[in-house]
Amino acid sequence: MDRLLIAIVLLAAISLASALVRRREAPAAPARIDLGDLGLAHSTGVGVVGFSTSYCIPCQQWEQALVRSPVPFMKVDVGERPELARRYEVKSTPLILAVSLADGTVVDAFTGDPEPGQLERIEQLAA
Amino acid sequence: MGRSVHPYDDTAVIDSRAPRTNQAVIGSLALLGFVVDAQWLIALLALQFILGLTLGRRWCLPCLLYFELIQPRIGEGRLEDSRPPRFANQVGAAFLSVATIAFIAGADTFGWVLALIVSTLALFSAMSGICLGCEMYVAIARARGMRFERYPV
Repeated sequence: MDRLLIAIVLLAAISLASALVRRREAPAAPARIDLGDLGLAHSTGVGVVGFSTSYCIPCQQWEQALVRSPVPFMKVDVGERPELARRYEVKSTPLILAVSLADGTVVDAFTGDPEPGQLERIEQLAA
Repeated sequence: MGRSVHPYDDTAVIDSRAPRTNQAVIGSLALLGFVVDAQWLIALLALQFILGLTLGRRWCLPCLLYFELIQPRIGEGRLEDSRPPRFANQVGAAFLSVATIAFIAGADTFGWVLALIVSTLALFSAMSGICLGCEMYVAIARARGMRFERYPV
């Protein structure tokens, strides 16, 4: 009986800790990108910076969708540019950032597989 | 449902749901072993870890559960670098092996403490998606100057 009680308390503590951690782990995105880091010239409108890795399937899906879109798209392979991944604390890929090309402010961010409506949202921001 | 990588042959990467399945199974069974005082179950889990690590994923029963029964139904999840979860499994194998030795030596309390550490960390990883053993691997790799793409990829 003591063992069962210990197990229940342990499970409750693990569940609570997991819930707290998941809440804190909301999709993290930098507030601003230094456009110079990416070799982007300052201009107007919104562009997309996509952090990816070579064997990340959702990254390829995002890339295929974004290269067909009129929105300026800059791909950053974190394997080739690990310093950028560290600077912007990229914890997982894909990390898709809609960025103001005027000052680098991140206006929206997406992670995971591309979902219906997300590309349209980016195109609206860029319009 | 298609797969972009072979579950058993493409060992550089792994579907991130497979380690979580493994963590859920190992964590639950270790806790069950504690509740019913089944030291043999801890020894079996240690053996299971060692078989999977040395002979490959085909010998890892939770991996088979995921790759043969779950993944075909829900599709492939996000791929991640397989080194951090493999390191976490090595740590788990070490803890459960020492726990087994402790049981044999009569140090039951010490054995159960080790088993419960594994159970707690495995269940926490399965529930939260944050694998502390993997984080440990990333920290060690970076401290040694290894170029490392943080998981998940």
